[in-house]
Amino acid sequence: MYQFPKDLYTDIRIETVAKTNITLENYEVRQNKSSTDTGAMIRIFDGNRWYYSATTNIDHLQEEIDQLAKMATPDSEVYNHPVIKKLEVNQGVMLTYQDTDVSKIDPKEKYEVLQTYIPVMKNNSEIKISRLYYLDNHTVKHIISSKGTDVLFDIQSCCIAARYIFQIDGNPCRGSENIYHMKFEDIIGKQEQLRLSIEKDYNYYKDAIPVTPGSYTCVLSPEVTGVFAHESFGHKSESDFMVGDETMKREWAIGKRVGKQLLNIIDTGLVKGSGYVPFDDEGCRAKKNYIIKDGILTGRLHSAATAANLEEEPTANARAMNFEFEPIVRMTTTYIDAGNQSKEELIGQISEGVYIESLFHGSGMTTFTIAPQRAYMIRDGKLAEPVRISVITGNVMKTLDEIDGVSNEVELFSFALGGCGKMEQHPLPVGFGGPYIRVNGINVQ
Amino acid sequence: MIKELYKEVLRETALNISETRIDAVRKKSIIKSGCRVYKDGFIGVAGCYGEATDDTWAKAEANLTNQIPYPYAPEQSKTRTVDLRSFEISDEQFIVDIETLLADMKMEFPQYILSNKIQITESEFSLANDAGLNLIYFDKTIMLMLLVKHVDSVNIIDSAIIHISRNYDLNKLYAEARKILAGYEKEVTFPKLKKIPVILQQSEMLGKFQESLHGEAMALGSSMFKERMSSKVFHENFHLYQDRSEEHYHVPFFDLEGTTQENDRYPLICEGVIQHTYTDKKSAATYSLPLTGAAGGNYDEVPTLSSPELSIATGNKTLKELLNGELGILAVFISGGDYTSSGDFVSPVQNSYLTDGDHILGRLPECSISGNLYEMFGENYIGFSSDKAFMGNNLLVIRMEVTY
Repeated sequence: MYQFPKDLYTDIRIETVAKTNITLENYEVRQNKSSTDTGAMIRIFDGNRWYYSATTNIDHLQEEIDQLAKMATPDSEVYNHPVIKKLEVNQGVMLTYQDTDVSKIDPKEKYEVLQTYIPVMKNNSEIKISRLYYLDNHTVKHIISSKGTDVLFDIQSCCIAARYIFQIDGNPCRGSENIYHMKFEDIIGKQEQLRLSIEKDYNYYKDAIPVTPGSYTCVLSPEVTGVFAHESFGHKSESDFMVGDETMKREWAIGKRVGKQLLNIIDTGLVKGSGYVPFDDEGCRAKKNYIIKDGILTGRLHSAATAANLEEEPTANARAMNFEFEPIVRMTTTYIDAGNQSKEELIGQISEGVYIESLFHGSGMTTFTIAPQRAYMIRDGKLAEPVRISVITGNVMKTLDEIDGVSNEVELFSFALGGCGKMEQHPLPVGFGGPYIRVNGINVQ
Repeated sequence: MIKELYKEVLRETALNISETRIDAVRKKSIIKSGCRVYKDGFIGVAGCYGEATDDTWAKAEANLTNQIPYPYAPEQSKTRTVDLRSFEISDEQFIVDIETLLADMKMEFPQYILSNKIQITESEFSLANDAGLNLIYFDKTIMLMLLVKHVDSVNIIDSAIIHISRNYDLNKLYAEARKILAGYEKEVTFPKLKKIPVILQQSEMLGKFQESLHGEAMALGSSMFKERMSSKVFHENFHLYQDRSEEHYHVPFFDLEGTTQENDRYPLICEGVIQHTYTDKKSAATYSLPLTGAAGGNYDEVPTLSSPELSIATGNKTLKELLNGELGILAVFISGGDYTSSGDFVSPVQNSYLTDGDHILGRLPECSISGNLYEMFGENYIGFSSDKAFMGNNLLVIRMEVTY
């Protein structure tokens, strides 16, 4: 065990990442790699400032700790500091994927499964370029602190990702599908999911015409709803943006109405998927956090430092992209909760609008932006012609209040490639999703 | 059999800024090693954190059984070292200097809250094999990426102070910070024009070129430039290079296969004519294209065709000269934009300033910019500045539609 420096708070996060990447470029193998790497992040707090060290020198962590401690100024009162007091002390082992550890599966078996998806791609002769990926990741994290935390846990993902480009009317048209699960056995035999996606993409691109720019009522699919929730409101709930800022504290006062009564937004690390984190990177145990309940702001996302600053409780949202970075306030799985209408009812009440079915990417701060992939006009309550859209945008706070319909079933999604970006830390795996939602006054361009 | 070692070393001291003070110091010392073994037309790769060991080499050799084809000759008998490091500063002095800078900014501009990072990054990339290849590249920069928020604002971020340099010049950091913070004070309105000169960092706008100048995409007919090769489709003053020169920071002069180019650049578009696509060894050989050296990937992967750094050739006019007496919109925060498959571009601009090319005249409201790729880099292309008037970069000027 480690000798923690006196009168300083110290924690160590050791991450061992076992992963496989098999890539087929135009059906020819280009990568076939399995690796296991270990790195560590050490944090020291002296009551005034944090000191971090990211290192691959795992055999000499004690020396790293001692070296880092020299930068700090010991303070006998450090454990009475509000930030340190907010840090949960947890102990235990939660190795959920020990029995289904993907790193123990023969890479040949993984390669064979990936090959079973080739015929689906080859079936569409308009695909000019293809990439098929088998990607898995089994990460074991060990967090130890001078306050007594000692948790060992694992997270896992396993997926087939397809990326393809059609050439239609002289223009390249990008499509994709992700078959994402936590266990190897669950990614086998999902060819129909890929086939449907290719068919939808092709039919969309074949007929899509430029949209007439303007302000529309939009219906968002569960996938787009998830990204909308993440971009429009999730980032604004990350409380590091409020620290030391009286204006933001007033603006984001708990109890403030920010949407209609039908709006509920939740963030939780408990959902199995790419946002699953049984403990955050400070060792805080995952919780289910209502950010908005019945349209009212009820919570926000915290690390120990932001919780101390805002005199609230940590929410297990202190996350780092990997051992090279310190944890900052990030989302886990963020979703809008179910309402009580059907998808057909939401669409049926619109005389002219736009249905956004899938997307390339989203971003958001004060203004959120989503770049749709497949989108269709809604005319007289029915889906009509496919339309090409560069982006949809809106002001976050105004748009939340414009959600006036929420369907009754929630679907959750995970990123196979990519993830959430915040400053230098990108991509961080997160989950997202929700029901179909109807939003008025979205700017479509 | 040829054995080859690719190595990345990163050393960094990053100061985390919160509430206009340093709240954390982060040190990084990261070594990543990728071992490659070439034999009988196949490649075996394996990697590890830290220095490569006998075990890493053994894994790379064992991975030859994966039979990943690599029928191309590894680079050989080529040695070169480029060392762009130009300053030394202790962590202690760096902390003191930035504490002073922040304290000064807080005193001069108490109405702003500054956050995010100021960091010194030192990198080393090397590629060597037992056929005489030995390429080494060092770089070191100071980067300031401060987020600005007005104390009365309900926005998460109002603006940003951005600066990167190989020189540790505190005066430049002060000047950049003062330019933005003083400029934010005054609210101004957009020029009353249908299309307005918009001033952008080139990296914001080159994504579609990276996608469309991909050698394989062009050869297989999935590039939007497919029917336009060798044609003049852009402005005659628009020249675009694949660029591994010192114009880019922490980008070695060699690609992941060790390919190098004269002056570390390769022309792709000259005088508005699309001349070449970028390639790695595989795409060059498969489609009979010139090899440009665009192999990339992670340190422990088989090198593969990846989007390289692109640069627009700088013209001989400063930003002020390019504006030619007009006022332009300096886009500081542009996030979330995209192109349709036919090249129509739209993006929100979260923060921008009105400028005459020398001075910031005031802050503009949020807006949206749009244009078509062929028009933006054709008839509406104004130029790429010879000077670095703002954000420590040469800047792209395009006439665009602006809605607000």
